[in-house]
Formats: sequence, C-alpha cells, structure tokens
Amino acid sequence: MTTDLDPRLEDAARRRLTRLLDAIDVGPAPVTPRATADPARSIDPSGPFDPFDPIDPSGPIDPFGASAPGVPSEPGDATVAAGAARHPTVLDLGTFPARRRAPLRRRAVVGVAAAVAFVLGVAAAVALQPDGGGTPPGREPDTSVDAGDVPRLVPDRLPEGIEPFEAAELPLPADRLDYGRTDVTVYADTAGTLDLGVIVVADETVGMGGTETTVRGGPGRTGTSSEANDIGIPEVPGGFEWVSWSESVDVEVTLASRSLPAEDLAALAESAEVDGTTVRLPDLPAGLTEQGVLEGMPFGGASYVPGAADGWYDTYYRPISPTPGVTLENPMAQVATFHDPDGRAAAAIRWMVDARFAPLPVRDGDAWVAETSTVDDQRTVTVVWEEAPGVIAVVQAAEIGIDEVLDLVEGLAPAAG
Amino acid sequence: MKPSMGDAGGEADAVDELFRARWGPSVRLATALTGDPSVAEELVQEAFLEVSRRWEEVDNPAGFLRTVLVNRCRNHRRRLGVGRRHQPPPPRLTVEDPDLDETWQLLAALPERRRAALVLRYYEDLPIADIAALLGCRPGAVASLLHRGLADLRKVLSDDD
Repeated sequence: MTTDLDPRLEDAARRRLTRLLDAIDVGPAPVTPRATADPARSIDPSGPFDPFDPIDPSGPIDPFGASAPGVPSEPGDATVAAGAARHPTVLDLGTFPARRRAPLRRRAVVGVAAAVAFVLGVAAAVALQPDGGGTPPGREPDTSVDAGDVPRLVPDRLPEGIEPFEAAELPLPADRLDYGRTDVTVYADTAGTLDLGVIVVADETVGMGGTETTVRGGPGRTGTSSEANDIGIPEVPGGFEWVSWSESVDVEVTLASRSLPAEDLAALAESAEVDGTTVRLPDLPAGLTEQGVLEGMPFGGASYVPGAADGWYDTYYRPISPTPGVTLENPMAQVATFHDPDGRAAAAIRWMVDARFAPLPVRDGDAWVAETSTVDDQRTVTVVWEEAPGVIAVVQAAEIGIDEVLDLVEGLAPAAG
Repeated sequence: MKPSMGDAGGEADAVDELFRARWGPSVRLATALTGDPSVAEELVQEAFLEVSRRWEEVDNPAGFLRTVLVNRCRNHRRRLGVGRRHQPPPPRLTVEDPDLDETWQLLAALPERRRAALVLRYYEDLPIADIAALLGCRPGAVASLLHRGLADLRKVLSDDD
C-alpha cells in the first residue's frame, strides 16, 4: 500500500528543489575520467598496501588453522553434512584460550599501578597523544583490570603517515547512531560446520544488490557476498549467501550464511517471527544455537563495536583524500576496547570478519586475525583479542598492511590516567 | 545507439558526451545527497570512471551512472558515520536567494533516506519504483519517505502555493 501524496505539495517540491539544485554553482566538467587513469584503485595484489596474501596457505596465518576439513561430528543431520560439503570449516567461535599469565613481578607492578590509579580516581577520559602517539605511555599491557574496568589502549607508535583523528567513549551517544544501527546475531553448531547470521538494520536501508526475489510475500533480494552492499560483512574467501527483505519502513533484515544455501535462508525467512528489531527463527536447522550477539553497532561505522557497551573507540587515519577523516580513500585504523563479559560480541565480530581465521599470538596471548576485502575493494585487517578478563579489544584497519597493523597492536598500552 | 568496444573512437566520444551532459546534474545530485560540493565532485568522477570501465556491459549508461553515484554517495555517508561529526563543517553552498537557502537548510537537515527520496523524485523525476530500486527498499517505503519528507519541507513549500 502506498501513502497518498498531496499533488500541490508535490508540484511545489518539484519547483523548489529544481530551483535550489539548479542554483548550485557547478564548474565546467573537467577532463573525462578514464578507467586507466586511476591505478591507485586497482586491486592488483602487488599494490602498495598488500604485503600479505590472505589466501596463501604458506603465509603466517593459516585460514583453516587446526580445524582441517573433515566429517561433521554431529551425527545424522543431513543439513550439517550438506553444510560441511559446501564449506568445511565455517566457524570457530570457541572461547578464547586462557591467557598466558604475566610473571609475578610484572603482575605486582601492575597491581600497584592499578591501586594508585584507583586511589587517585583516574577519570576515564584521556586525550590522545598530541604528537601522534609519540610518547610511549608504558609498554606493559595491564592484564589486571576487573571485567567492568575497561582500559583504553593507545599506540606507542603509529604506521608512517597515520595520525590521530578521533577519540570516543562507549556507549555511543544517541546522535552517533542516527545513521542507523545494526544488530547481528550469530548461530552455529558445535561442529563448526553450520553458521547463520541475522543482521537487522534499523533506521536505514541497506540497499542490497543481488537479484530480486519474493520474501514473506513482498519484494526481497538474494545474492552472494560480492553482491551485498555495506551490511558490515566483508567479502571473504568462499563468500556467503544472503536473503534480505524490508520488514517495515525502518527495519531491514538480512539472513547470511557461509554454509546454508540461499534456498534454506529463504525458507528461514518465511517462517521468521519479527517484532520490531527482534527476529525469532522457529525453524532453525538442528544443532544451530546462538553463539554471538553484537548489538547497537553504528550502521556504516567503520569498526565493529557494541554501541551500548562500556569502552573506548579511537580512530587514526592517513590523510590522502581532500576530505579529512574517515573516507573510503583514507587508510585508517580504529582501536576499540569494550566490556564483553561473555564474549558474545567478540564471537559475532569474529563471524563477521571471517569465521575461519586462526589464532595468532600477539600481546602475550592469542588473537584472531582476519584479512578481508569489502565490496568497495577496501582491504581490511581485523585483530580481535581478550585484553583482560571480560574486556575485548578490536583493531580494525583499512588499506594498511597487516604487518603495520600487528606492529600497532603490539605497541598498544593502557593510557595513563 | 551506444558505441561498442569495436568502435573505440565512437565509444570515447560517447563517454565524453555523457560526461559533458551529466557532469552538472550529477554534481548537483551528489551535493544534495552528501551536503558537500567538493566530495560530490570527487564521487561523480569516481562514478564516471566506473561507467567508462563497464561501458560494454551497460545498456543505459546515464541510468547506470545515476545508480553508481547514488550508491557511492550512500556509502560515503556510511563510512563517515561515526567520525563525520568531528570533522570541519562542509563548505556552505553558494545559494544567494534567502528562500532557497532556507530550503537548503531544511533539506540538509533531513535524514539521509528522506532527502534522497525527495531529490530523486522531484529533481531527477524518477518514478517511485526506480527510487525503490536505487534505495533498496519497497515502493511503499519510498512513498512513506516522500510523505514524511514533504511534511518536513511543508514550511517552505507552502510559500509556493
């Protein structure tokens, strides 16, 4: 059903907008851009920002890790077997391995430091290093914080040309979410052979590509990862399939999976029960249980953070584009730490960036590292680790090489109060 | 008829012709969608580049150009999402007429989708079905966006009655 529009208002809007936009001063057209005139946008892997081949099995990160392709351990489930056949190891959302404990001497020092900080009542807000991060704020990572006490991590060095752009505190204020918000719920089976992501975007339209289809009696779209628009899931080796529909004017729902085919997703969509931004799936395939939830992620935000959690969210960038700040052209890195006591937000993030990536030792523990590319051909590196019990850290970088990103991660330390 | 790869000179001329004809309207459209004329020019250049890359595959270059441009404008705003509020304000538009300036202020303050629907409908003269395809939503949603957008602009539009 469409809403009736007032013809007089429509005519007035046509006249007024035409006058307004035609009054915008536009200079003469410059030289016609040619496809060969923009080599910087090429995705040639020999380009300046690609020191690491993400699918090279001999590289430092094995995308399949220890979970070699094999027969699913859950018996008697044809769906599981089909999923395994499609994509052998789609998910590894297990809990983080226990962190290596710091030596007693360091723990004592850190404990004293924490006590001093407590006595002084250190304020949470800390300015970024004004010289671009040049002064080391202390190299020892503080692993002694309580779950509810989220450290803010600042780098003691930045990749060449990268400078601080913005510091923000979580939870995000409401005006940071006025471009829409995204909730992501991830389901998986214990064997790691099946996965399903439910992505709900509110107050914004997704504008998915793909092909038209009918979902829940109305128009919907379906496609593969390379046909998805900016729903926050980058394109990864193997890709994913998705089905999307508008549940209402302000709510769009996407079901995405790296193991379930589009027809299964369509069937799940048909039986979904949607109430506002809450989606219930009564016909989930056997064995799938909820593994991760990321709520209130700012739609279009360049990094993955739960908008309502306590934490920090700092942005660094390399100014290349005439437009300052976070643009598609400017390489950037974002460092977030947030309270995630059950690891559910971290699990959702790990599914989003690439469920198959393997742990890599960084910062005295194991981190999860993924290198992916978005539908905009941006190469991104995401590093996720447990900085302290109940505190997750995420570094996400675009168009910055993985070596530089890992170097930045190693140089992070809690900001001094 | 659209020149093909086999007619390289003709294709180049056609791209040039499209560029000359659509540069101004495209920059104006992108300015309305992003609020920033300098960003608009950058995005229009990128959109033209995409059109010239895929000239062989595209039946309707002008329509494809608009689709690419609208998507780039939307993606640009999304990427700005969190950070944009801490950037310097974009350059003000050169709109001397106070009435038009008031219209611009109201238009620029609208939520992105509402503004896009209004501009695509009443400046680009696109049918609702095409706008729905561009914005990736149902036609009913576009009608709702237009309804709310017209209500937002009612203050200035009523002067035209």
